[in-house]
Amino acid sequence: MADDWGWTRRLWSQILINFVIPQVPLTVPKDQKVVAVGIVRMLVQSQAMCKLEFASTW
Amino acid sequence: MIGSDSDPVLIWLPLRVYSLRVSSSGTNAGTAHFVGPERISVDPSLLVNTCRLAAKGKCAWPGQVVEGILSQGLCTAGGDWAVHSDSCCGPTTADPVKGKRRMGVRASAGRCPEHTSVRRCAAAIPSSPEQNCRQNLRQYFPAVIVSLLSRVQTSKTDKFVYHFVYFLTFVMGVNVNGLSPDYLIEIVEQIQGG
Repeated sequence: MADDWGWTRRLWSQILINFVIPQVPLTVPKDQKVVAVGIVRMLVQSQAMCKLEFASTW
Repeated sequence: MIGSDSDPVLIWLPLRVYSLRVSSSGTNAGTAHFVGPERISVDPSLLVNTCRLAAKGKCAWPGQVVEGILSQGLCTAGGDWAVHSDSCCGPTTADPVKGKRRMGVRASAGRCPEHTSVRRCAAAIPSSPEQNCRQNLRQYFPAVIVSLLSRVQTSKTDKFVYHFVYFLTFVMGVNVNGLSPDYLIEIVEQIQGG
């Protein structure tokens, strides 16, 4: 079970590091509002993002 | 989702509370009755007809679907319709039909005579829309994420990655009860865990 959890956290942080974060600066102005709201909600309103495993992605 | 002919189809009604029972000898005969405060089971044949209405843009939300069922039945079946909507805050099991009406269903559908305030009716519904949205979406959302991730792994294009990220941030950012960053992260965790 512990291994599974470790995997999952790695998966989400991998998605963040490999896809989401590099794409944010490339967002065209038309989509910037949606992306900004999503990122801000992820950082501000998410309990899961406060876990230690995601600290590196901040 | 319209299942097999024998299974009743559950529709979630957000605010209005209906309790209607349809007995008819027409071609579109069917029954629609409460199985819970917020769910209504509908005969699939009625729902198919109503979905045709919805496809024409006449129904936009589940309450209207039920109204569409009513109007559809009124138009074609012409049977004996009995509707009572006065049990909104009480138990809503299958109970004897109270206010019998004929051909006047549509006017009374969705109204709550004793509690005209819609908010009070909504407060009487125990399970919140948030939970319902989560439960309904949970069937499909992991599969969507998995297929998107597999596409990302196999044949990645810049445009796909861009819109994938756009989708993820949209899910995290959209202001719908039940859709939150926590939900998305939980789904991703679930994929890997299962």
